[in-house]
Amino acid sequence: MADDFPPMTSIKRWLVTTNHKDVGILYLVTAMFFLLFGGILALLFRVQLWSSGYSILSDSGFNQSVSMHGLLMVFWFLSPIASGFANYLVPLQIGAKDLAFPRLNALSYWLYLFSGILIGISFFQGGTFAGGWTMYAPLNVPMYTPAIEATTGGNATILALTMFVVSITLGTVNFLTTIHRSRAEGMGLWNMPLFTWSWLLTVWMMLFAFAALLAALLLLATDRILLTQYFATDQGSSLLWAHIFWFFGHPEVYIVFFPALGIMFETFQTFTGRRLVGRKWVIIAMVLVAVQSFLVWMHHMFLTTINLEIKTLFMATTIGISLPFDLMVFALIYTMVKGRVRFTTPFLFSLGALVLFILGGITGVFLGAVVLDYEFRGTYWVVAHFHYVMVSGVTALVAGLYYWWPKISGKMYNETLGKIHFAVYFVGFNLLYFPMFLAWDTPRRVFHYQEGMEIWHQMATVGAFVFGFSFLIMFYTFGKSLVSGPDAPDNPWEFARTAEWAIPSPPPLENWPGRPSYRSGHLEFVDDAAEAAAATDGGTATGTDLARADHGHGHELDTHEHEEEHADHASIWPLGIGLGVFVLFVGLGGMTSSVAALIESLDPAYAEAAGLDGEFSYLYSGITLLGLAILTYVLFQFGLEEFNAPEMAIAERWPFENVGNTKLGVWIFLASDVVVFGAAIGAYVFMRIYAGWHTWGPVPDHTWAGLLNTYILLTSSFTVILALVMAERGNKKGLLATLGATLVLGLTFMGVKTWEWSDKFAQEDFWFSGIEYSLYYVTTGLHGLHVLLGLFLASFMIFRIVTIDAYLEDSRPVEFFGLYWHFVDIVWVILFPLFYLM
Amino acid sequence: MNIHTYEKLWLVGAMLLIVGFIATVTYGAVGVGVTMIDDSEETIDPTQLDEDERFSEPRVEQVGENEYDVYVVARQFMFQPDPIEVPAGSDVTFYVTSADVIHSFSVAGTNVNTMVIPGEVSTMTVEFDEPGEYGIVCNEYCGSGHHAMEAMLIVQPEDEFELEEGEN
Repeated sequence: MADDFPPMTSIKRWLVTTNHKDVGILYLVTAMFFLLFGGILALLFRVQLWSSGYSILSDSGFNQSVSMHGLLMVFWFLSPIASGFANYLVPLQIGAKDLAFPRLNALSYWLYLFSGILIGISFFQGGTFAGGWTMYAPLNVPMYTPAIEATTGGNATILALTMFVVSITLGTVNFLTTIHRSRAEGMGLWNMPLFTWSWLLTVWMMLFAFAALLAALLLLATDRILLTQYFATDQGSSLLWAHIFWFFGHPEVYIVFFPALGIMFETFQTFTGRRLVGRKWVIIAMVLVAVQSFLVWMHHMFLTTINLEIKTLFMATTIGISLPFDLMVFALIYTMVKGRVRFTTPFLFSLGALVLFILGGITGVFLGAVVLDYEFRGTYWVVAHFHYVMVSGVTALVAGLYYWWPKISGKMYNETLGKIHFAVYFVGFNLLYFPMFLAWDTPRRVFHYQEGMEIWHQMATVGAFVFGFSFLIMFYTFGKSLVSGPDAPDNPWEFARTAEWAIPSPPPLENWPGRPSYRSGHLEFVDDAAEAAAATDGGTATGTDLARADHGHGHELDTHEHEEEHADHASIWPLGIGLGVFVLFVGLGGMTSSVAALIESLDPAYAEAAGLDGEFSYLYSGITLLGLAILTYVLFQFGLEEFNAPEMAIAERWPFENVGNTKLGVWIFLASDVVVFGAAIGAYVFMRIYAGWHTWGPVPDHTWAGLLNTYILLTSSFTVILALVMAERGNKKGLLATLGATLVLGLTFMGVKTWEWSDKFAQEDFWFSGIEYSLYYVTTGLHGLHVLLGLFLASFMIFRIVTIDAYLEDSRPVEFFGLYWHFVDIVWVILFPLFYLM
Repeated sequence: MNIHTYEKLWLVGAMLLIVGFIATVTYGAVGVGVTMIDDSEETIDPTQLDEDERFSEPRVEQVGENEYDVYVVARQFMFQPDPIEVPAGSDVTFYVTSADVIHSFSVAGTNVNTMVIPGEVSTMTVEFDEPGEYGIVCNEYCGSGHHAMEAMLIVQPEDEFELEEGEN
C-alpha cells in the first residue's frame, strides 16, 4: 500500500485517489447531486403545468428547464450513478484489486464532474440549451437562434455533453479490459455475477452507441462554433441528425436500464434465497437485447417520410426486442415464486421496479406500432411511457443504494425508515406518472393543454412533490445511518453470495485478504507465498500446481512475486486533465462570435447574406489558449508520472488470454474510434446521396496531392513497424531514426494538407461556403487532428528515448503507438478515394 | 411432460398478451385505415417555397368530386393557411412542408399527426366524418414561440361547404 496515500477524512485523498471504491463513491455522490438538480427543474415546470396558462417561468425558461431536465437526468444522473455502482462493485464481484487502468478511471470521473460544472455555467451564459434533449436539427444551430451571443450557453451545453461522452468512452475501455482480463481464477464468463454481466453488456453498448453520439456532437459543435453547414442547411440535415442521434439514442435506453436490471437480479436472488430461474437464458436474453438495440432506432422516426417498408421492418425489430425482456420478467417472477421472499427495503424497491417496468414496457409496445404512432406521437402517452421505464430503472438503482449501503458505508440503516421511504416513493411515483396516461391526449413540449385535463395535471404536480419529498426521507435515512447506525457485518443479507459480501464492510483498500480464487468451485482466498513454500517442501500443494499448469498459468508462476508489487493509488494529473479540458471548453463555447468576425473579414458577401455580426472576443480567446496551455502541461506530466497498476498474475481472461491489458485497451479504443469516423464518413455519404451523388465534384483540386499524402502516410506506417523492430532489438539509434522518420513524414503530410487548404482558401472556398466544403474540411480535419495527436505522441516518445532510454527494455508502448498510427493511415486510405476521386 | 400450474398460467397469459398486441396492430392498420405517409421521398428546397407551384400559395384545392388537396406550410410559429376549411365526408389529402425547422402537424382528437421536416413533403389522406372545429398544434419543439404555434381546422357539413374566392 502506498505510504503517502492520504486517509479518507482528508480532502486531498478525494482529489488524488484512483482507487475504484473511492471513485465509485465520488460517482454516486455526484450523481445524487445531479438527480437533485434535474429534479428541481422538473418541479419548476410541474408547477407551471398546474393549470394551462399558469406561469412562473418565462417561455424560454420553461423550454430550458424541460431540455435540461432531460439532459441532466439521462446523462448526468442515470449513467453516472450506474457507473458509481460498477466502479465500486464490479472489481469486487470479479475478484480484482482495481480496474485495469486506475488513473484513466479517475480521469473519467473528473471529466464527468467538470462537464457537469460546465452545464451549470451554461445557465449563466445567456441561457442554457433550450432545444429539447434530442437537440433536433436544424433548430440546434445558431441560424435559428435569435442572436449569436445567445448561443454561448447552448454551446457550453453541447461541449459539456461532448466532454461527458469522452468520459464515458474512457470508462468503457477501462471496464471492458477489466472484466475481460481480471476475473479471479475459476470465474468463467458464465459464472460472473449478474450485475457484472449487465454492466459488461452496458459498456459494450456504450462503446459503440456513445461513439456515434460523439461524432454527432463534434459535427454539431463545429456547426455552432466554426459555423460549418452540417445542420444549418436544408439538405437533409434534419434526417441526418435524427439518424445519428437515434442510432445512439435507442441503445441508450438499454444502457441506462441494464444496470438497474442487474441490481434487480442481484436483489431478487438474495432476498428470495434462490438462484435466478433460467439464469443462463436470462444472460442470453440480455446479449440478444444488446445486439438488437442497434437495430431499432428508426421507430423514433416513424412520423418522418422514410420508406414504409423500412418502417415496417423497424416495427418488427422493435416489437421483437420486447420478447427477451418478457423472458427476463418471467424469470424474475418465477424466482419469487420458487424462493422464500424477505421483504426488506432493497427487495421492495426491486419489486416496485419490476411492477413499474411491466407497465412501462406494455405501454411501450403500442408505440412500437407504426399506425398507433400517429395517435400517440408527441403526446403525454410517450412522456408517461418512458418515465415509467426510466424511473423504474431509478427505482432499482435506489434498491441498489439500500442493498450496498452497509457494504459501502459500513453502517446499517433503519429498515422502518427505508420502508416508509418506499411507500412514499411508490405512491408519489404513480401519482406523478399515472395521470399522464389518463391525460394522454395532452400535447408534449408545450405548457398549454385542454381545460378538461387540468385535474390530471394537478394530480401529477402533487405527485411530483410527494416523489421529490421521498428522496428527502432517503437522505435522512442514510444520514442517520452514517451518524448513529450500528456497524454492518460482512454480510448482513445472509443469502448474498457475490464476492463483495465475503470481505469486511467497508472493504480495505486492497480488497482481499489473499488472492481470490474459485478454483475449487467456491470462493477461497489463496495465500500464494505459503502455497509455494509448501510446494518446495514437497507438501500438499502439488495437486494445485498441476491444476495451474492445466489452466495454462504455469509460466506466470515465475512472475508471481510481482503480485506483491507496490500498487499506486494516487495521482493528481487526472484532476488536472479534467480542469484543462474544462477551461478549454469554456473558452471554445464563446468563440462563435470571433469566428463570425473572422468570416466577415474573409468573405464579406457571405457574412452579409448569412446575417453574421460577430466581434472578436479577447476574453474567450484567452480562456481557450489558457485551457490549451494547462492541457499541454498536465498531459505531459501525466505521461511522465510513474504509476504502477500491476496486472493480475493469475486471472481468467477468456477470450483475450494472449493480449496484454494496455493492448486490449488500445484495440477497444480504436473500435470506438472506428464508429466515430464511421459516423462522420456516413454523414458525408448520406448528404451526398441526398443531394444526388454527382451534384458535386470532388472538392480538392489536386488529386496528385492526395495521392502523395497517401504514399507519405503508408511509408510512415512502414517506419513505425521498423521502430518496433528496433525497440525489440534494443537499438537506441535505430529507434530514434525510425521514430524520427515517422515524425518527419507526418509533418510532411500536415504540410501538404496546409498547402491544399490555403490553396482552397485563396479561391474563396471556405469551410462555411457550402455543405460540400463543410464535409470536406471537417472530415479531413478530424483525420488531421488524429495525425496531429499521433505526432505529439511520437515527439513525446522521442523525448523519452533521449532522456531515459525508454522502450529499449519494454517495447510495448511503441507497438501501441503503431496500432494507433496504422489506424489513422487506414482511415486516410478510405478518405482519399471518397474525397479526391469520387 | 408435467408442466407446473403456475407455468401454464404464465404461458397462457403471455400468449394472450402477444395475441392482443398483434390484434391491436392489425386493427390499427386495417380498421382505422390511415394511409401511411407516401414513400416517394420527394424533396423540396425549404428556402425556395415562394417559387414552388404548390406551396407558394398554401391553400385548399378541389381536385375531383369529393376529393380535396390541402397544401400547408408550417413555419416559426404558424401554419398557413389558417383556418383550413374542408367538407365532411370527402377524401382530403394534406401536403405539409416546413419553411424552416422541424415542426409537426397534429390535428387534435384525430390520428392526423405527422412530423414536418424541412426539405420533405409529408402526405396523408383522411376523411373527416364529424363536422366541427379541430385544433391544429405543433408538437415538435421549434423555438421560443413554439407554444403559440396553433391553427384551426374547420370541417363544414357537406352541403354548406364551398371554397372561398381565390382559394380555388
